[in-house]
Amino acid sequence: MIEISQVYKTYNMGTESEFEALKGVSFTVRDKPVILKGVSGSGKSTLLSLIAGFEKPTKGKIIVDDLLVSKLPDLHLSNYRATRVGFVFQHFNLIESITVLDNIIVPLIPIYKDIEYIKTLAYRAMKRVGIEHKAHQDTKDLSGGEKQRCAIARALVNDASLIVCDEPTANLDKKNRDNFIDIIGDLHSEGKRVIIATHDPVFENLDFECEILNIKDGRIEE
Amino acid sequence: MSSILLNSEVIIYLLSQSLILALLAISFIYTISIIRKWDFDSFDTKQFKLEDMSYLVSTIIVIALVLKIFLLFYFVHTIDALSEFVAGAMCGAGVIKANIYGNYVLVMGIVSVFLSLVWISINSLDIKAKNYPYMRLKSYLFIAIFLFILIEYILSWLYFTNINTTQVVSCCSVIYGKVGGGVPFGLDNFKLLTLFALFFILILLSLWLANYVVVFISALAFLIVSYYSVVYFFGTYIYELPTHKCPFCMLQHYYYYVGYLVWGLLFGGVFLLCDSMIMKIFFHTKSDKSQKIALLMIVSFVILSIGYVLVYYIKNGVLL
Amino acid sequence: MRSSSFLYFLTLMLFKQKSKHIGSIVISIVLISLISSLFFLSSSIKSSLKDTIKEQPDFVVSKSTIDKVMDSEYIDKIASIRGVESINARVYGRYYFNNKGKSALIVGIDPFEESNAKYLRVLFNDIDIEKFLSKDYMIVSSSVDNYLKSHFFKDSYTFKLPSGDFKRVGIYRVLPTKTNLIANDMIILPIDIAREILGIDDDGVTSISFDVANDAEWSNVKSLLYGSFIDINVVDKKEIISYYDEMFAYKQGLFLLLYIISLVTFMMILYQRYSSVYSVEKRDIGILRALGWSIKDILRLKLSESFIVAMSSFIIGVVIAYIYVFIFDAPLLKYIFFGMDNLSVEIELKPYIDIGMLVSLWLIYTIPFISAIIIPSWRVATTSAKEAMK
Repeated sequence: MIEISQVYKTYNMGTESEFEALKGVSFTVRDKPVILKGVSGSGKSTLLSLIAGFEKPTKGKIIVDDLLVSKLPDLHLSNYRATRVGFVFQHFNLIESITVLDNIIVPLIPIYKDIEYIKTLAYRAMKRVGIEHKAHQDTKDLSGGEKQRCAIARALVNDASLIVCDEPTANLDKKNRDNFIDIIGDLHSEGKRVIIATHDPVFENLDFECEILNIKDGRIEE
Repeated sequence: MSSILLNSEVIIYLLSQSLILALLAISFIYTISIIRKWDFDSFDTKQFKLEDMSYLVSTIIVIALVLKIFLLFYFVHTIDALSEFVAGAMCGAGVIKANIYGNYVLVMGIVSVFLSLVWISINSLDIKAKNYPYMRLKSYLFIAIFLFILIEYILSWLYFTNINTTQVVSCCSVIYGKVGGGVPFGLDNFKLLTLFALFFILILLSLWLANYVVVFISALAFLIVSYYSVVYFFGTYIYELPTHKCPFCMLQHYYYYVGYLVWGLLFGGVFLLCDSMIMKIFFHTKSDKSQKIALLMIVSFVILSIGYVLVYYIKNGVLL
Repeated sequence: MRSSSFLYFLTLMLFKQKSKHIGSIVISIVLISLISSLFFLSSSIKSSLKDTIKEQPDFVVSKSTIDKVMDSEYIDKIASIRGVESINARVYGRYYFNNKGKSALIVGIDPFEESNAKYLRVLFNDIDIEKFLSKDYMIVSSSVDNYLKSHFFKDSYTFKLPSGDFKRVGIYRVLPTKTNLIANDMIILPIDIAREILGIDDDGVTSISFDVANDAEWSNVKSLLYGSFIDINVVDKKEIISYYDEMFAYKQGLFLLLYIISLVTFMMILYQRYSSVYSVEKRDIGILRALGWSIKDILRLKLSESFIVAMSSFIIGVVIAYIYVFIFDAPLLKYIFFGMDNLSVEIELKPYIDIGMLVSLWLIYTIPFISAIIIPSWRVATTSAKEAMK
């Protein structure tokens, strides 16, 4: 269970460019996938980055499975990101200079010592999204859809219980978008929790039940 | 004086110490910030920056420690190299006694290495916890260590600039031999070796019984007794000369630099053990890893020392 | 210790970022080879010198007044001191060739004298001393030989005597190159011919050398001699050795100080280089952080990268220095120790390295290197994970 309670996030506090991105957000994520809807600048990316442990809130609590994520020191927070979160970025954020396989093993290096074991996990993730035939190809030579599949594989490789996606379908064509939704459905049926920030309307008509939250100006709209 | 300062080893030693001190000074400044403003419960960006800063402080200290251990050995090598230029000195022993600062520099170097080791152990405990429980303790401890290292640094400059190449110094046979008074505290070799064996067994026993305070005390006692045992007894078997008593000569290439191994194992082992005991006594850690390594080093040291005696006996059929 | 997977990633990143490191590697190698060459050169010359000096007699007595000549009174007095052995009297002087101030050191010896004969035989296995003395012959060092040949004197040279006459002396042998260290511009002659060329009376000698077996007696012997003659200079072998020790240490130290200046510049370059986190690298590190790499992990990565760069540069630099000094005999650099005024220096440099020297070289490079990159590496490591979102 993920509990977000009275979370505020202010940037550049105390300066002229002070900006309050989140103004007291509270909600709970149980079993259903959560779709965060809102325009850019509404605060959804900020909320995602807080849940994923990229940064800490200015005020408030974020508890993920009894772990007070909002107050953890770096060593623990990094470990949380490495073991419990799988993140899919809007622009994929792959390391272009290395291969697909090498990109996918990155999250596992702080966790496991044995490189061979890590590679087997990576292959498993690649098979799942259908990209294992591209394992040794340089990432910069991939198509948009392939890059996305690589990014997803990377998010799945650590078998995290929480999958967070930031505008995952923004740079995809219809076919790949449908693929993505299928994968989300599979993940949900495996018991993983999914949080997706998007303004793509396709997410309003999914086969499985989701909780849709609207976020505007740093607040959740009822 | 100037010829000493133009000596390559001295230049390298002083330059290295200066750089390390500069880095530690940066740590010092950040540590002051941490002491003044650290508030784990605050969500202020400034607090997050302090957490980042604490990583710089700890990184610098770890690196400084490793380098200072190297430099400790290098200091000993430097004074050995200087023995060519100081009248009357045949090895480092004479050079160290060229003025009053020598011994202090050496001792303070050794102590600062030990204190840094303890700091690093506390630090690794601290970052594994969820709320940096030892941040203040660490910071105050580091302030103390830094001041200590600063004094050591000043003393080392005073030492090197006050070595008089023309004034004759005593050689080790005078300092440690019959003229110098022999084994101190009125002990003789037999009593010394008995104490040596006794404290060694005490360490092993109290470890087995998990009485950490006794381990700590007996380790320190063992260190002191071993120092004298090596100088007055075991060393003579390294030199194969009953009258050659000196802690420095065994560092020279004639003896295959075995001195570095002997002193390294002894001091390293005892320090690791004491550090491990401090962690267990005050911080209730459970880890046995450094304890095992420390024990291994101490046992190796004992085997090495006794080994020289045995080999001599086997080769010559008699003891010295 | 996440060694295997960490190493895999480390080597991966290193190779992908080759271009980033190439600059520091090249400068490092240049700096290291320079200072290592200096150290190698200095210690090699010093040890060769010491070896050669060891073969010299323990004491050398010469006159401290302008008139350099000593007569037999001096020899007799020395012979009377207890403990003195192997007395050998020689005639030394400088002979100036016609132009440009080039000169050679004339050494007049008695070849039948036991120690001289022994030394000559060490130098030339097949020397025939009788033949050497049968006519007017001399033995020259290779640089003198080269000089003479370049002035068209092939097998002999005609000296101009102080009396105004000329004397033609044939070249019997040329000294082997290994003696060039201390015998660079030497001409060895039978003592009588030397006296002629230098204008010294029949009995006169300019240097008396001898040995004293017992080390402890050296200072006694010295005081005795100074007590007997006020116009002499007594130099013992130990003094010479410490003189050279000090001179080499001094020269080496001086160059080390100069080197440090370039080192400071290098440190600043390094600091800059590893500080300028290009947007791509910043993003990549942000991604690592976002995917679960802690500050500690990234620090380990960055510091290990730098360490490998430093170590490889060091090893390559030292090897290059070794090849330069001991295989190519350090062209150009060796003049730092020999000066350019002597006739050209040809010596064989004997490899002489000890661990202490390598440790010194390692310290003088590694510690500044590490100091320069700690803070930049930390800055990179504390990149916020949020960077990945941008």
